[in-house]
Amino acid sequence: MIGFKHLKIWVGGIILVVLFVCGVASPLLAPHDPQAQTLEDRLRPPRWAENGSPAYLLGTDNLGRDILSRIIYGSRISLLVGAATVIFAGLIGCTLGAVAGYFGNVTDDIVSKISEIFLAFPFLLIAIAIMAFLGQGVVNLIMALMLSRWVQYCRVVRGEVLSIKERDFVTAVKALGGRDGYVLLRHVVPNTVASITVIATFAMAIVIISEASLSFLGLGVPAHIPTWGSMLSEGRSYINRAPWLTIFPGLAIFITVFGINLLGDGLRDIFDPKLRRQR
Amino acid sequence: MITIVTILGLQLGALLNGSVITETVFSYPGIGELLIQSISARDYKLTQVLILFFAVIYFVVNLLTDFLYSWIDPRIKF
Repeated sequence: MIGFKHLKIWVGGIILVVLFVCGVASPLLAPHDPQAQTLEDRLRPPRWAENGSPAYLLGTDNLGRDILSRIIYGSRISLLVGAATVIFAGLIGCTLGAVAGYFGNVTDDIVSKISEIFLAFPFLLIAIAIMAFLGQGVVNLIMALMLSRWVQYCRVVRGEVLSIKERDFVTAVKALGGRDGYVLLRHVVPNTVASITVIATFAMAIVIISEASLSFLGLGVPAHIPTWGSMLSEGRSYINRAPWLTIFPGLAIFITVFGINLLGDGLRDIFDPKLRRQR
Repeated sequence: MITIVTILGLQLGALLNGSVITETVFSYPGIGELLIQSISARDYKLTQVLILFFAVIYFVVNLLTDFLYSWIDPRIKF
């Protein structure tokens, strides 16, 4: 059982390390320039398919750009935006949610009302407003996505904390003289890790796709920078003639989410107090 | 269970708010499409009312989730 648990962390970790290396060392790994257009070679299928060219392992898109190189370069923006958004949104959301759930009363009212305001705003509206005020760019994109994602963490953590803080072990810690901060950090928050991991893994995939829809509207990163999401939306109109345009970026997102899922699952097994006791 | 109810509440709110893009794309006559029409017709009063309606939906759904919490786990009190 322990071996299997570590296997999950290893596989997930290796997938993420490979993706990280792809992002950092993309100029060294990519066989072609991701912007270079070769119009004679456009919509070329992957190498192993009929009519495929050995120069393009995963085929080319409608402008004759190499898909493999674009996926390798795209991992930069997609992973950066995904990871940064999930981490920062998670920090903000979990902190506010835990504080609101634990202290209740006025604190809870204030935090809940703020999160409801953010929920009632249509996501695209916030994004457009932020981009209009601050201009295009990766940092602003991360901020826009973060503002829409933290609410989910906040609501879920708040709900869990509401239930956990009434349990007997928390009363016991308080009776032994545990201060609020100690009880919250040491005994309440660790019990919410399981749900936070699940939300974070799903949020990563959603963020990568949302980045695509924002870039598609011209609000995300500039159009000439390849991202997995923009590759998906560009390839959509060719899905009948050239399915490899959408299959491979989709596969890249799938592998990323799969890796995070495995890693998150493995880490949860280590950190979750309930599962730790059973070992 | 608490987590499931929370996520259900968030999803219900999002669904009741009429998926603006879906309704516009499939030209289904729902609130989402009404919002887009009112914005393009510069009908500010209708837009305001619809936005208020969205906010109220979220508020009510969140209130219901809070009630559900204490129904599922009676130890929870507000």
